[in-house]
Amino acid sequence: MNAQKWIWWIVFLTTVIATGFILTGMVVWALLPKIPEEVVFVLGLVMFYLFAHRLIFGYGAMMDFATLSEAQQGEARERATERSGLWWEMVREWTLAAILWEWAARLDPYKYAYYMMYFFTVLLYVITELNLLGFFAWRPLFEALFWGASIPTLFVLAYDTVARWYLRRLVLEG
Amino acid sequence: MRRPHFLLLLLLLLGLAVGWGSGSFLTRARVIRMVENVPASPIVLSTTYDTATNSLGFAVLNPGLVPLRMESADFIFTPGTHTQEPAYVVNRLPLQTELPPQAVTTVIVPLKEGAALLQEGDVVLTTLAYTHPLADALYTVIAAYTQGASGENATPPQTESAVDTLVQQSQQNQ
Repeated sequence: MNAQKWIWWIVFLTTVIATGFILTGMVVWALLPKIPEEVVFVLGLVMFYLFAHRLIFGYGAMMDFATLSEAQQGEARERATERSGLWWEMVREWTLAAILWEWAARLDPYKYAYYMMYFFTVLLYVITELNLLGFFAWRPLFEALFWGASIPTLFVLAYDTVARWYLRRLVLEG
Repeated sequence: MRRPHFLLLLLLLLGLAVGWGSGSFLTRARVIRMVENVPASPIVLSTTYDTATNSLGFAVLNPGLVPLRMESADFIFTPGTHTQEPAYVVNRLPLQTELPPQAVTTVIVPLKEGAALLQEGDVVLTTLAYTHPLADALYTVIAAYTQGASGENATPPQTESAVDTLVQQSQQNQ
């Protein structure tokens, strides 16, 4: 076996074991009496994920298209147009790189709306943490919301930056 | 084009920070809730009467996280129908017993010198005074012991009902 197969097996087994731990933890958590912090944490996680879903899957699909070989790029243009919601008659003459670039630009409003919502969550958390407006007793709940929201935000940030790196590579190197 | 090693490292570190932060937040919230539920007072689990030394032994649990100090005991002896001993009161009997945290300690309270052995139906209402290392105040915990039919052990329901009676009397006095 070569090194790549070893690495693949290590990653695969780690994922399986981690998934087992996560599922066990979820079952144990479901049986425990919940505290308000945990409820707000899960609410923040789920609600922010709903807003992040379009971005995460958009950038993920963009990464898939951007890593195709040059031979596959021609017939992938139509599928990319379909996924992105662009108009095929408009982009018929465009290269795959241009279609993906336009797709990324069209996701920007969603991305900045999402980041703004996250920014307000952080602001609320900092305001209560420093006791600036007085509702100090709610601090743990805002902290829980902040941590719950941070997890989908991390994925949005990671998918965004990595997809942009692949996109730049596609534009510069083809 | 440069490979995005720095970007991936940054995202990895961010992921570790978010996982660490949210995990420790949830753990901290549970621990705070657990510590909040620890009673502030030592608890008298059971009382035993030793006929050889004519003394009461209180099994006292200190559920807190700091050692407490049992300073003194006051007790009221109320005779039952089977004894010739008249009622008496003992004040400020020094104990000076250390209660280590999260452990059961036996606190021995000798009855009045020269008093007859307890007979069935005799009640000893003991006020144990203790100090907390972080406070100057003197706190008390009250335990009632009723000499049972066996002559050796008090049963917990009798102890509880004696304390209930005491609480009712104090409410009536108010």
